[in-house]
Amino acid sequence: MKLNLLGWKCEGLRCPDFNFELDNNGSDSATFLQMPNGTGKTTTLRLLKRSLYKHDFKSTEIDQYKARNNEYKKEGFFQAKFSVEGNVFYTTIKFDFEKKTYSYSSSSTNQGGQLSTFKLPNEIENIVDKELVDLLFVDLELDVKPMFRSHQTGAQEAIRKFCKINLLKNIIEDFEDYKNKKRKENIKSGNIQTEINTEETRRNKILNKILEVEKKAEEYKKYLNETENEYVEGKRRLDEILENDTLRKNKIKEYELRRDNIKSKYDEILIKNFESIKSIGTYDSNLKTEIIKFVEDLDEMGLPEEEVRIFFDKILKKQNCICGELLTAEKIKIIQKEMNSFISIKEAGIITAIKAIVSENINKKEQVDLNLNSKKIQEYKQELDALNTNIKLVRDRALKDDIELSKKIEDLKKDREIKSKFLDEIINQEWKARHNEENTESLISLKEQKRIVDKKLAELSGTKDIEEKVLKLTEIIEDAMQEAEIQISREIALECNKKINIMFVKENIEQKNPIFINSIDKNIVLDGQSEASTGQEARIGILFLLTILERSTIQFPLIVDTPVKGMDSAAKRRTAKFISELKSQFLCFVIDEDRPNFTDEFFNLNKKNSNFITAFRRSDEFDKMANLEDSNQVKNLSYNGQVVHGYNFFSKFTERQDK
Amino acid sequence: MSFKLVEKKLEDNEGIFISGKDFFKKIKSEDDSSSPIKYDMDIFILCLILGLKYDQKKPLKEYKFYQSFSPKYIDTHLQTKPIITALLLSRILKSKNVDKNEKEKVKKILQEVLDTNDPTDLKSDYIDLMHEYYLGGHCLLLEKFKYKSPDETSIFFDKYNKLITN
Repeated sequence: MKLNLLGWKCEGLRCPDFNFELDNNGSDSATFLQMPNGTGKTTTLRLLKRSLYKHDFKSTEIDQYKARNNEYKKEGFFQAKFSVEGNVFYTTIKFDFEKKTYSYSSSSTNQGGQLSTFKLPNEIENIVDKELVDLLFVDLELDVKPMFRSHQTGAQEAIRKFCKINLLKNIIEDFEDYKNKKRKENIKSGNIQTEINTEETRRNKILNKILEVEKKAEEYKKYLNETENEYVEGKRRLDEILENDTLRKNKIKEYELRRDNIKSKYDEILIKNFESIKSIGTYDSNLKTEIIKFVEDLDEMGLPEEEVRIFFDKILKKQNCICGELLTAEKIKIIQKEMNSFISIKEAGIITAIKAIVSENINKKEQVDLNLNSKKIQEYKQELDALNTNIKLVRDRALKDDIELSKKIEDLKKDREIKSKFLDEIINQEWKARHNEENTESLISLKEQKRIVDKKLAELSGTKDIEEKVLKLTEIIEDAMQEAEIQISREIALECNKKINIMFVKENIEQKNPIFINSIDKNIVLDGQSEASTGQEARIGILFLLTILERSTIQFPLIVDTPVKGMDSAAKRRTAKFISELKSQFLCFVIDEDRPNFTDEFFNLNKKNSNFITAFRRSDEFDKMANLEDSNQVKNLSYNGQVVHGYNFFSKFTERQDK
Repeated sequence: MSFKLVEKKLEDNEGIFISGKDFFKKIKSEDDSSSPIKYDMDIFILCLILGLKYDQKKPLKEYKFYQSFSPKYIDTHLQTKPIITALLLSRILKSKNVDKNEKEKVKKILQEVLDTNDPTDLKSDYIDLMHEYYLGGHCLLLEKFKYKSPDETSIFFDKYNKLITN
């Protein structure tokens, strides 16, 4: 089964009124859509997505689609045209910009008539949803590149979305809801209910903290992704400069070696010093005198005297007293009273531990001079600071012409390290008994805290049985999800590598150095290298998405924004060849600077089987250009926009006059 | 009962009080990778030892505390626990004018102070006493650092070592 995008039409929106027909030359393979900046590409992409699932438009979003100034109209619409197995269907979104409302309508050739609601054809309605649509519409920068970054989870999320692994999460949520409902139905009285209320408040606090941490993690991922290029490129540039300055490079290396050595000594003495401070008795202080005296006094008093209590305890367990007489209730009472005047075995244990630690600190541990520690700490710190200053000076001298870049990259490095640490370590720290929702940002710990509170709540509310069942089922589902993900990831990696072998090696796209996928965990891990060039990542990323999409019985289109951004000429040519080998419908948005080596190359490879479309906001300059075109070219004209089909116009179109 | 760090002074007319977390923020390992101060418990113990050293206590009711960070001594402080208990017992005996010649009284105080069911080994009132000493130490640090949180771990320990050995 095949889902194709056939075109779309819009009126009264922020973008000009356009009418796109993608099937004009009877092709459904590749379409290149050239839209200059400011023609409404973002609006188009967003509304195309929204045409495949029912979206809840907020009034602020509706406002964003409103035409500006003298183009403003009270109403507007966006209509997308698709086909499933040759049957055409439409989705229309109408906007009322005055009332800030919207409505969906749908029509299908095989379902008859217009429906005033959102409805996809039966064949795909249970398959296509927002998560899947997110996979069909991709941005090279925002969606594909992050799939290769170690701190990102793009690849894992793509697999989860397409394979509907997340549906299982909904089942877990349903169980949770059921459990919570049952717990709340079991209202208790008095102190127990008060305790339940306290725990419920704690539970809410934990849930809020989880949301807060998840939001922070998403923000950090976004930041790392957005700054990746700037950081990598900047760092590469600085490294290059330093690499070419052999003398300074060697000096820096020498200083760094010495710095690392001093730093380890400094760290060591700080730890040692803190351990000494805690070990009262290992250094001279009035506290040392005090604990020595305290233990000496205990010794003099013969404390602890646990054996005496054991002696009394043993008597109490006998029938007769040591004097031979029967132990009557009255005698037992007297013995018990006497026994209680001695400290308990457990209390004696505490006293014994005190004596042992004091003895260890005074007699066994190395005695230290904290003032000597201070001296060493200061010495190492001064040396460390001096070496850091030297490194900075030599670097600054080497980078004197790029001082701003150097500062920027240094700041970025610090920021990125903090955020990476948060994503890699902090949110994954193990649960500790001392953790509460305020002193940890570990998602693992917070989830464990929630589980503990849930367990307590179940005990208090008498829903322990339900809690245990839900826990068991959740564990089974989570295990299944994890196993499914691992298995699917393996299969996809294998399938991608087969494609890389066929397309890149046999079809001569990257015969010399093809990069294969090692594994797919959270991100795509490449074989033998941490990252690839922009072009290689783009091609592998697209292959990865297509491989996921192919797991369905339906063949989906892939719509890519900025497919060759940041690529050099050779990479653009390889990508053009790569796209020409794809079997699915492929649509991409380009600008005039993408033509050399990319769309031109594609045209040469694939003359007949492709759509080249140019869409622009009308102006005297563009109208004149279009009027000069061959009259046989298909043109869709509106009062403010024009769509021109054909490679001839596409290859020439550019804005020459600065506005 | 459990361990808590001080958040603010309730009537801080001069507005100079610094919370337990803020005072140590720049010299904690999160900000300075060389710092041995990793946990809130590290902060608590550093202040507590100082409070005990100078026998400085502050009334809890005049301060607001953060939520508890731990119900017990964390693993890296298990060896510190008996010493802290010893010092607290020693101070309590002194405050009640009980000496080694009054064994029965000493035993009674031991029973009154120690709680074998609490992970701190102390009864609730004496956990409060421990927090009074902690506060005393915290306030002393504020005073010695002229109500400015230290920027450098090395400077902090230089001053702290001098204070603790004086």
